[in-house]
Amino acid sequence: MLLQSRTLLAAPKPTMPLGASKPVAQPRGEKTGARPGRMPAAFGHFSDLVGRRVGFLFILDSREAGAAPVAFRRRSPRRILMVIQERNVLMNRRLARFGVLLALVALAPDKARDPEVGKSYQVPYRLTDTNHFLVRVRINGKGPFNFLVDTGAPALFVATETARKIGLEPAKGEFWTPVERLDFEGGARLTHIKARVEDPFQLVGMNALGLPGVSIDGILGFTVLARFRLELDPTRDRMTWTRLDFEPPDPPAPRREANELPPAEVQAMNMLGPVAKFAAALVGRQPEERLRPRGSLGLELDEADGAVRVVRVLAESPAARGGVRDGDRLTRILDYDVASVKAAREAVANVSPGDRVPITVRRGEEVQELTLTAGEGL
Amino acid sequence: MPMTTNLRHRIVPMTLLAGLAIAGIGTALTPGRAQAESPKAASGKAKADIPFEMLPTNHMVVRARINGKGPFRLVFDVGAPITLLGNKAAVASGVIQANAPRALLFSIRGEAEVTTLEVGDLTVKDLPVIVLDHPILKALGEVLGKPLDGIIGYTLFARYRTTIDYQARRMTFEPVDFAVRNLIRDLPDRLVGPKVAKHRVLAPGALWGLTVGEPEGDLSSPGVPVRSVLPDSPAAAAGVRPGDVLTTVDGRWTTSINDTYAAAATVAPGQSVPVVVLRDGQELTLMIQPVEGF
Repeated sequence: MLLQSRTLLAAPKPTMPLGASKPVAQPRGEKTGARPGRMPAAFGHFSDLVGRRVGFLFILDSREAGAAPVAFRRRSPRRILMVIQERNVLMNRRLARFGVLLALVALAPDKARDPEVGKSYQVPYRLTDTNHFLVRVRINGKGPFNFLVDTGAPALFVATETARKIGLEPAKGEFWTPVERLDFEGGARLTHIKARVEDPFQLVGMNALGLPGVSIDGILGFTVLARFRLELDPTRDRMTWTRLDFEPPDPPAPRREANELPPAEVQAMNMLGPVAKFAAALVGRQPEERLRPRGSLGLELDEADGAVRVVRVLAESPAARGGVRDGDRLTRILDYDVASVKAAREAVANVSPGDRVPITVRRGEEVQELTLTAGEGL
Repeated sequence: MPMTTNLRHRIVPMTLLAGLAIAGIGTALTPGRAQAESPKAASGKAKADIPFEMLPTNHMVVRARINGKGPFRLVFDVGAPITLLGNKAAVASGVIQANAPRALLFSIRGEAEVTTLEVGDLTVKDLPVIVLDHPILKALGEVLGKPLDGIIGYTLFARYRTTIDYQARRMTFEPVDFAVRNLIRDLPDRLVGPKVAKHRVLAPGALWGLTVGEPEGDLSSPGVPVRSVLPDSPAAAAGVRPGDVLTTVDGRWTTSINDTYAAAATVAPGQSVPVVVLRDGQELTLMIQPVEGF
């Protein structure tokens, strides 16, 4: 979704030539949000102590190693062996020292480096009928809420209704509202993020037309997504998010004096939300999908000699109460002949808790007709 | 092949899609995988590397050659369900003819197909696009003093395993075998489709041996309470106890009973998965290996 908050459009022209690819290095901690147009520091934070110290040691070592072939050429094979041995001792000593140093470096407190950096998370997502990616988010520990993954949005947007529900109050006169903690399904988390509490027309429209069972509570844009290396594979049901050591700047907040109206066509776009609402009223909102859990019997199964075998009846389960025993062969369920576990699974696919489930089992030579009452659980 | 079909019938859905204001009139939310509808093979085999530029407005822009013409500047937008070209670029690249009919609103020209789109190391073949002048794109281009020619959306990137690295300013695309559905084609039918509530049964993929209850605490609830654990079941073997609050199954949140079943639906028998429970204020991660059965 190409999202450009109406107010953000009033931002001043960038101070840096467009297309400039070199990032401007900036010491961490310096706020870039107030200066529109500045590119974020992409590489090499000065406070990245671990990386620098290790890198430094590495350079020293490789320089000495590089001198070795020259020394070899001037000596006899025997001498070379000795030299190699000497070097090995030297090397071992150096390695030991290196190890100690590494350990020291590892122990050295380095508050600047976020322990999350480099961690990968499998983030479950849902693809809507309109080809939008939704992930679930908790805001300040509350939720979960459905958020759109949208590189076309410049920042984090939280719908006003959602913000109200969790008591996320936009500060008076401030454009951004601070969010202490953002947890994503799959384990990724961010702290101290700025959100814009607003209802972009795209959200209004989508929610009016109604995605079954889902309302969209906000949009994850650049300022959230850029903190991760994102991998999107449409053949998998999860995305991979790897935390980067990268703090994207907030997009410029609109100047207070900028009260000029957005271009007429953008105003037209903003009308689309209400239009969609109106269209929804005419077309009728799609009814929500009704979900219900399947009932459970408590049978552990496998296949043996072309039949479905009861490996184990879980104690106190519906199957145990109904008289099924370990080792029984299951031949019929709900009037379906079942010769495989797959067929048995299909036979019970629509069973609800409380349903009566007639089954036929073979126990040795004997055939038994039993009636189970499906229970809750998984 | 340049073409515009059924323009009038499609203006409404296209406008809505273009505003990306629209949404699902359809039915199921597919967990992860989309239904295959119009298969289209991904071109090439290797992983392609694409540099991108960040606009001061935090949008990603790539430079692409379309049908050998260009380069054109396109916004890469994971939130866009379609790929979109402005009229100027579409005519310049021969995607549509200059005299193709256009609608009054946003100069919509309709659907067309790009024969080749080259961006970085990547060549995309036979890509369906919508031709119209997106007002926000135009406004952005004006603010930034450099025009933007279109938007790359789902219909392109869903052909690939896509990685986006904002720090390195690089994307990679690796072809996957995935049929990308054409939204424009089935949307009008969906708009007038039947309004029957769909029922769906959430079936666990294996036998766990536990029951869960309704969560307490509404939006601050961490998960569902475990009501019972069957003796000798996989759940019991893993150490789950009644009274535990189940918060996560295999990396998925279990904030409702339905959530719990939906998470268990993707776990196969014999698969050992982490399950997180809260017990006496402590968070415990237990490994459960559910068995074949129900």
